Amino acid sequence: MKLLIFDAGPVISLTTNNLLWLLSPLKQRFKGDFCITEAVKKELVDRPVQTKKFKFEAIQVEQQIESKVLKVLKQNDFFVNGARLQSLANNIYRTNFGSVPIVQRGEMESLAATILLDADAFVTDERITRMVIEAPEPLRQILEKRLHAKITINDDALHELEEQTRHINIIRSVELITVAYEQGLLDKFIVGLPNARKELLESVLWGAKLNGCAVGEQEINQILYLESKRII
Amino acid sequence: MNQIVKKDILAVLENVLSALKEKDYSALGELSNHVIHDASIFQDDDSVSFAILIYALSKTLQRCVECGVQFTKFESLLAEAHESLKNDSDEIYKSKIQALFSVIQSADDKLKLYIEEVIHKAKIKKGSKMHEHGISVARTAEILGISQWELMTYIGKTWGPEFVSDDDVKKRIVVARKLFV
Repeated sequence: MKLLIFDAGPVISLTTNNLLWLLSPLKQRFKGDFCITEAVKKELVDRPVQTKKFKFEAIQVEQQIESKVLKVLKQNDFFVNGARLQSLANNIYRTNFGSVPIVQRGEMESLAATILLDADAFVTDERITRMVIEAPEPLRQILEKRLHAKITINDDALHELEEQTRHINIIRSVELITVAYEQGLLDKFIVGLPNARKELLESVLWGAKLNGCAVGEQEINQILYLESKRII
Repeated sequence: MNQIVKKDILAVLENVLSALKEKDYSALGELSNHVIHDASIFQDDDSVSFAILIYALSKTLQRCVECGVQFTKFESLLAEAHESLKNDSDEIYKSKIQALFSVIQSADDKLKLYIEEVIHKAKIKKGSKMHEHGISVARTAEILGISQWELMTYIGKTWGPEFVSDDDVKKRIVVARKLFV
């Protein structure tokens, strides 16, 4: 069975951009399950539904769960393995005063689910989680620069995390949106403006960025260029 | 209290008291960032709540000036907090910080500031700073007791990632494309 594991961030980005509806047609094309862990459901639905500010957004996500577009995973193994991954990630970067905890349990449970279920990809908009897996040295440099402290890497923790995450694919909400655009799912928004297709893609990518997806202006420009040329 | 955090809070408190004497309230916002390094490294209640307090105080005092309202309680409480911390009376210091939050809340009646909102916004603002310092959105939200929804929508409008590789952009699109063929 094909699987995508979603962290909270991409669902938040899609919802706040009125693009949550894309999940259903994307899932049909994917021909597999879109899953979230119970911890992510808490962040997406259970907590915000108690508030005024994001109650409607929470209801929209709940609707996706009830209509089985998003499946909530219930296995306890994610909790145990998530704790281990959290401990590794939070012990990689060290100052003279001790380790710097950089990630939270919930996001590491999603990562644990990706590994344990051998999912096709982990969908996360979280820059720090991606960097600790894909680019630990640049993250060390950011921490050192921002914290004004000498940061060293705990090689044992890093190697174990690398070993566990070696085979996972990571994508963001912007990649989902780009694929949806390529597959014509956004065509109903092509209007009578000059360069309507490019404007549409630019608008949705910037929407994702402005609602928290960690994507840079340079990356958005590159996606726009690649899509205009279709050179990849 | 962690000794490094204590030393840094004391230094910032001295600067805060000087800024208050000079009525330079806007300087407080910047001073609140000085303990964000500690808040990011140690993730302790003391540095986190101190950063939120000083930022909320800067907003409240700026509003006092706009409304022509005088609030003198802040200065004496801050001086007492400074003194107690200097004397290693950590519990008294913490009670003074709590009292300062209460005074900010009591300012609501006079200023119509919707002070809950001021403190809440201070948390989001300081959370965005902690994320800039390399702490994940989820972890930052957890430390500050705010939701990822709020933090993400704020961070998206204020900040972009520093590390970008051209290959990553192409690679990720190719991966995503293969998933949906």
